Amino acid sequence: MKKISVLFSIVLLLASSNAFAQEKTAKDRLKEIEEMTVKARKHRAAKREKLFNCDALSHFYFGFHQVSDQPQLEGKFFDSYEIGFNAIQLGLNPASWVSLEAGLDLKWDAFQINKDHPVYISDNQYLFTTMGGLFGTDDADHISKLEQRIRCFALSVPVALAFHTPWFSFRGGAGFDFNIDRFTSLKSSYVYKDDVSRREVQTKEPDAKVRNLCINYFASIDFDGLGVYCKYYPKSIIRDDGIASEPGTDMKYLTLGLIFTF
Amino acid sequence: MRKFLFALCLGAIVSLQAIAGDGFLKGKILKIDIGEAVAERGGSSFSIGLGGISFSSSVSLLSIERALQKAADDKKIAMVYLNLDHFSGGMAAMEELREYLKRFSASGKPVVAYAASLGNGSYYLGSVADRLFLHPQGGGSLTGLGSTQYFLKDLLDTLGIEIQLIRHGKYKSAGEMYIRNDISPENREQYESLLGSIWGSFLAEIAESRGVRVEQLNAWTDGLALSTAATWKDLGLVDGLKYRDEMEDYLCHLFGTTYPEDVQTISIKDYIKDLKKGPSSKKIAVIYADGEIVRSGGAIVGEKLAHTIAEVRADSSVKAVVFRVNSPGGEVVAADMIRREIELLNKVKPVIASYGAYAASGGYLISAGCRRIFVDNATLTGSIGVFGLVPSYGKAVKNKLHVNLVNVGTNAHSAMGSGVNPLSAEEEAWYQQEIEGIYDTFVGVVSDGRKMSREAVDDIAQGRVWSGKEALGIGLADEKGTLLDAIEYTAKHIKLSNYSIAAYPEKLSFKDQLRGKQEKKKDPLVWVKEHMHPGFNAMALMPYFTIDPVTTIE
Repeated sequence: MKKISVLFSIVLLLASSNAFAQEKTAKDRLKEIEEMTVKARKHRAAKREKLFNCDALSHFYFGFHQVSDQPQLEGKFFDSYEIGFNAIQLGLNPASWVSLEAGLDLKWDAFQINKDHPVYISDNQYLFTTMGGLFGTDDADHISKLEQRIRCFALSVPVALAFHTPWFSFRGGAGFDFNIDRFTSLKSSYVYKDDVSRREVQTKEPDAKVRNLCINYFASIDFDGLGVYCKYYPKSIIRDDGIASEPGTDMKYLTLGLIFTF
Repeated sequence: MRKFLFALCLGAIVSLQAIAGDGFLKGKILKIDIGEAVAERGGSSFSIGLGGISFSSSVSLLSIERALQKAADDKKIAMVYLNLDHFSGGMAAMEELREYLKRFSASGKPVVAYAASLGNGSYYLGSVADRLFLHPQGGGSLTGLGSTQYFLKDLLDTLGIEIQLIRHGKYKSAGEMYIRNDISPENREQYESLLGSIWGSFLAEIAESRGVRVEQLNAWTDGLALSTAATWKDLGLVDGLKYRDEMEDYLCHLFGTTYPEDVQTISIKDYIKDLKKGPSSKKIAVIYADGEIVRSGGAIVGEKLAHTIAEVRADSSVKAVVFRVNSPGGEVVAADMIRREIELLNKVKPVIASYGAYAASGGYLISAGCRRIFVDNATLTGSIGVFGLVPSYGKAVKNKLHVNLVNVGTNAHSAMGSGVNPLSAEEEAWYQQEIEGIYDTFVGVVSDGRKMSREAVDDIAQGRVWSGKEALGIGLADEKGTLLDAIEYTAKHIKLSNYSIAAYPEKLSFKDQLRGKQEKKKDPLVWVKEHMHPGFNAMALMPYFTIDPVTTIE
């Protein structure tokens, strides 16, 4: 008990001595502040004071996809990416430190798939496709140097709860990506093993078997106009019915990226 | 050893919390524009005149005091910004406002003031700021306090109007303007003392705030050393010269930013809206007596205010009363009605008086019986004396308009007070006796209320006007303090911690305002004009408690 009292007294003494040292007059405080340097920083939009706000083209982002549950793609972080910007963002600001936000983003995705690093469909089947079909394992044996890229365009509707401090903002929520079939494609290039000339075949298929709706969970933290974000897609981007009789695809992915706020 | 180190680290962590942050101010700026009207009672009103309809709004002094008191402890408020442009206001109100700005600064939060130009009043207020900035092309000077008085005897002689002044108190100079062409020695003496007292108080406060000597300030004032903005800065009376955009940059700097939109401001009017009301079951009533006291058609109608006081006495939710007096006096009967009701109220609930710019003559009579009196240094009080004015215009009408007025009556003094002829010697003696009686009563009221002997009261009475500071020294007041100080004293006195403040009388309704029943102070010329009306007969013999209707001291 005695030791605890001594310890407590030391703590109290240090805290109070510092608190005492902090008792400055208003004039002293002003003098100190006047001698300080204000760091110039990037301009950022004024903190929302209004209950409702609407912004357009307020941020731009790009990130890299890491496909999960695809161990052969580990380390291939920069092969797949997304890029996007917001068209419009609506905010409800009940207080200066919190807001509920929803928006409409335009987003382009590109997923890199190659033979060495295929996307498993199920068991030993991989996502390769050409001419409207999908390569199974057998087909895969006849081609080499296969590279495929799924390109998607989506209208994304993120809904987030944001918390604001004078130094950073934190957002978390869900996004609803509506992939537009018309702008979705699968580009492939490969070489038939049997082809002596080793001619590269390039194909483009309009139907990349991508889901029309992909839901993701995201979080971001923004410092003065520059932030980082991460998104996770818990369900595969590939449609369940994309492969004729196959049980389904398994292309979930995690995205990490940078976000720039104007 | 391990435990000692642990304690040291813990203490360091706790200490570090106190210094967390980058040192810049955090929070909002509470902005006070002194050009916005500050009145005893705030509110909106409108008037219809030749120029059309004009609206005016003002903030009440009490609300500002409460707001500043709250802001000193409010973590959301980082500082006060005081804009001194278009300064206007009574000295007592500014004294109270200055006191609360001083208390705000004492809490560790800065007060920054800005003015385009400076004069006596604006500098008095601005000097309390931790930083005072002036426009580079601004300037101005301290000139000291002065009072301009005018005398109408020659004019009235030219018009043929005779005024008889019957009074008790050699310093009761209120009616002298009608019978003299210059200031009497007694009046000069009292005003020199009064103004000297107020000016001395102001200079002492300025000197304390700015770190200069009072003698130096007086020397600069006498020598007109202050003129251009540069001279104000060179003499250390302001902290810098800045244009408005530079002020904006300065404020941004205080908050560690270069963008004005990052700095949040809240006006005092908006801040006042968030003041807590308190429970309505426990009230401290603030009864305002603001203006001249009359029997009808004026700022304070005696019977109406007396009725209001009676209502407050009967209201069980009112636990105590602060009587805020801002009156130069008025009609005897009207004033006594109010005094009587205050006396009855004081028997059942404590009544504490708080004085504003004036609490003199009738204003002092109605509050002398209060349990404690709070004053400001700049308050004008005392003027314990009575006078009556009897005009006669028979000669004027005859000589100027060639109209002869003849009185016919049943008795020797039927025409007394008709205004045709002056009072005879016998009539004047009768009136003097009435005045003496009223004075005696007045002295008695003050003697009872202030627990002083009648002789002691008579010594300091004689109609003499005293400053609040002087009044403290001679026993006419108890304590220097603001209206809010008086309210807090009252609450402490009756051991009330949670209460609401209710203002009386209730403000004029829209309907009353539409009828043109506005509260206004009477200008002396208006008073004379009104009393020349035939209906004056009944009023002519009505004695008056009032002090000189001089202009605001500035």
